[in-house]
Amino acid sequence: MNPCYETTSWRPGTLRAYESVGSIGAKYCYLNKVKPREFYNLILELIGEKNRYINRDDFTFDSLDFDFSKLSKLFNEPLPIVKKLSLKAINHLPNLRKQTGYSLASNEDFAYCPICLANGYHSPLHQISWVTNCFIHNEALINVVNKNKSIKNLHTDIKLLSNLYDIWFVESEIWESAKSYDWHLVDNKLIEEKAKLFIQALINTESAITNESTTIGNNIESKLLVLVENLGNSNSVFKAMHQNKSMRLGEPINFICSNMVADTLVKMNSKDFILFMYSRQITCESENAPEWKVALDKLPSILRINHKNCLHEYRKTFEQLEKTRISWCRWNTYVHPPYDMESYDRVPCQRIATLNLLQTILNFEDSLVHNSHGNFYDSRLGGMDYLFQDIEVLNDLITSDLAKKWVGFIVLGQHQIMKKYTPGYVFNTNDEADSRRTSMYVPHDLLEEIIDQLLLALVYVWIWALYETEMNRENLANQQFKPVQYLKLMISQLSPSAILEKTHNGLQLKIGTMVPYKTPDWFINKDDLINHYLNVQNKSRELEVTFDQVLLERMKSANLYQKSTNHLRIYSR
Amino acid sequence: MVDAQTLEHTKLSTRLLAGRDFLVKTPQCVSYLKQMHTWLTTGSQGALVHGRPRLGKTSATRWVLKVIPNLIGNFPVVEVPIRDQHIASERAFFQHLLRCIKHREAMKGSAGDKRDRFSEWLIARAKRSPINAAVLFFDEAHLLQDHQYSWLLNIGNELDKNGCRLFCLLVGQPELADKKLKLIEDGMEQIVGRFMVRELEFSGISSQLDLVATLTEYQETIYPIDSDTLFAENFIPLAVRGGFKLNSIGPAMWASFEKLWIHFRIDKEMSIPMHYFTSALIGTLNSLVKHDAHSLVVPQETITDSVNASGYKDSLRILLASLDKYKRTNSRS
Repeated sequence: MNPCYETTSWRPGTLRAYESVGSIGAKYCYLNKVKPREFYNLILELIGEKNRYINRDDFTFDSLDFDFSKLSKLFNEPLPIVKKLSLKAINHLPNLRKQTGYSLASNEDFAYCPICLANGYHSPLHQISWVTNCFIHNEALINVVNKNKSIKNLHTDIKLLSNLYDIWFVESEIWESAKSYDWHLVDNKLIEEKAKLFIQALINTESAITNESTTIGNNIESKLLVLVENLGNSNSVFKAMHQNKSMRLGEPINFICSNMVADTLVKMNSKDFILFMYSRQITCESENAPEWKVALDKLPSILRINHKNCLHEYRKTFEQLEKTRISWCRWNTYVHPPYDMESYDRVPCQRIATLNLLQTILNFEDSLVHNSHGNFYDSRLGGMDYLFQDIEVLNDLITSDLAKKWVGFIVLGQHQIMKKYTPGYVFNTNDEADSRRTSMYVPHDLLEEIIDQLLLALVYVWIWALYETEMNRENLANQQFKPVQYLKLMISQLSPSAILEKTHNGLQLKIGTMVPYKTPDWFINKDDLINHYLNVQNKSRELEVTFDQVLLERMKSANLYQKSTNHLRIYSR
Repeated sequence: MVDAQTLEHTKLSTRLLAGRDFLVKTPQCVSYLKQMHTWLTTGSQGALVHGRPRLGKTSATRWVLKVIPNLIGNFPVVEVPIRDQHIASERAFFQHLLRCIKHREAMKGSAGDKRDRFSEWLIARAKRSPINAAVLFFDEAHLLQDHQYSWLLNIGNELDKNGCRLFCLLVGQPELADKKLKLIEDGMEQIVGRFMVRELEFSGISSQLDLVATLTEYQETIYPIDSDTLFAENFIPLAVRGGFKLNSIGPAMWASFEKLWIHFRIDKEMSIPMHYFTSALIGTLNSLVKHDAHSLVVPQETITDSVNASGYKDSLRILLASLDKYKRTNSRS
């Protein structure tokens, strides 16, 4: 007979485990013929007046007081499935968070799997910022900018309701059965089976973490993957979903040391290691250089192979143009130089811009750490304070002879390999100091060996990031992406992670990296080289003509036609 | 000052007479159940059940709808009381239906939204039932208006489109049968064809055998539910434990009702509405409370007094008047 509790128009049996609040909301609005506001009101009732969450970026169903029992009755859906709407089981894993900075924070965009969407399903597991593939279908997720406004007192994932409603019930082409009474949905068993694998990988890792290891790296997500893989908890679903799925966990490197040294080193955190990596970069001498230093030192000359003529051509033309430009600028309005090494389409040869980018990487003393290792201190201040005091085990490291103080001068400007190709340089005098007195702690002995291994992985990431940037130069121009931005993005995405753990006789280092330890193929074959140089010359002319036209326009507007011919000759070439 | 036991008996009596506390199977109910089983399993889309007031149509329908899932499986049932609500507009009508199912969004949106919301609710449930049907039980259905039947037709069509069936059980007073004739006269066969082909005239207890059978049902009823107390034990525990059977008062009770029937000289087959029967039974049991003993003898006059006080006499007076009126109308026409 008539129900004794509140009901809604819902199709029992259609709720799916780990379904997003937006997905349920869109269906609720369609079935009940109500506006999203009514669903928001229902959710507000269910999350309770206190609106308590552990983190601000939790998903709606992770509310501490969420009334799953009421939702179960209201939708006439089994309570076990309704309870599986929450990601509480994996949202707060304190050990993982401490070791890697782990979180399930949602993507700002609307991220979806096209197959799931065509079968009436969307999950918060699609929205996790470091997830790139669907946990059910392994399909690459599609990200769409979400411009919907936030809803007062509700979490951001509810904003997806409108997107899903429009896709399913307004356009009605994506999910064919959306408007019929027989919805074709993703199989719930399949969802639960796949989600279970993902969740287990995280929960098992969380419970297996001990104080006997430390994870190192700047990339939170790859650190997570390294940890999961190292503890043997990875599985096909977890790996396929992860953005760093191409990561390989290298062969373990063993270091023999005393238990006390091992204890001291595993107490270091990621930032401590990064600080020592930085001081090692600055103070490492070229004599008896480690592998990473050799690879980095060789890089400028490798990049110049096959491009010496391009650089010569570039320098010749830009010096000629610079004379005209600077002369004009001295007496008239400012005119931009036609060249810009920060942009691939404003240099005759792509390698010139790449070499310019390389300066960013080589700039240890200035911006490298700042750019690629997070903003935890400002290294650009004069008389640098490296905040080594923040390392909790610094005294232990010094006592164990794993770190020592270094005081000396660092040479400035060594990274400026393209200085003489910079417009304006020819005529400028350099008043900057060429060295700076600095004091810092540097790694020593075993710590130095570990740091060298970490730097080797990092240097190859820089090299490959540089290569990827050059290879993607045409896309960057189309997307109005600055090369330096793209380079930083690539470095961030490819950034390696490592795990240092105690063994019976010392330590073991395992490095997870997304790039091979070899230099990419930068070279141009002989046949293409002639064409390449012709193109460089053409591009050079093109840039000259562009500049001449700009200058001519300026002359016209300055009414210089009326002046003497001699005067004009100065400016027109 | 009323003692606690008397107060408890009064409460029990009131609850029983209100008719919601428990439902008793009567011979009429059994026959109704058989009919209902046939209707639901032969593809009918509606039926009329009509009869005089106080016969127990509503309770019998509730009993049938409660029992029938044991025979044919579960299906959604919505009881829609039609009283003097303002449900003349389509919006108000569907809002009333949504409120009957305690729908969270009953008040929101246009008439169309409400109709779709209600259809969705019914279809979702009908699809999960083994007979792919939903039953709307309209109580006091004689108060339904023509256009409301048309809206029900729309809902029925919507269910039909989705492979389900809507069964409208129209329960009301004898005017409901007249309504059927009027709809035919007005050319609205589609409504009659859909919802009114099947018909059942409901009557009260019409023989001593039926009355004894009904008393036997009361005798075997456990009340309160989940206790091990027989219904009569709530009033006369010693007598019940001493072997007293409630159906033993059946012949005496039938005789008292019959006496009144004969007194009014009604030219029809005798019928006792369930309401007056229940009232007489409760009255008798209440009178026996103070005489409770292992070997209880029920005096005829106690039963007669209870029957007289049940209101049956007044109901016969009304019946007689209405029969006279009917005869006069018929003779004029």
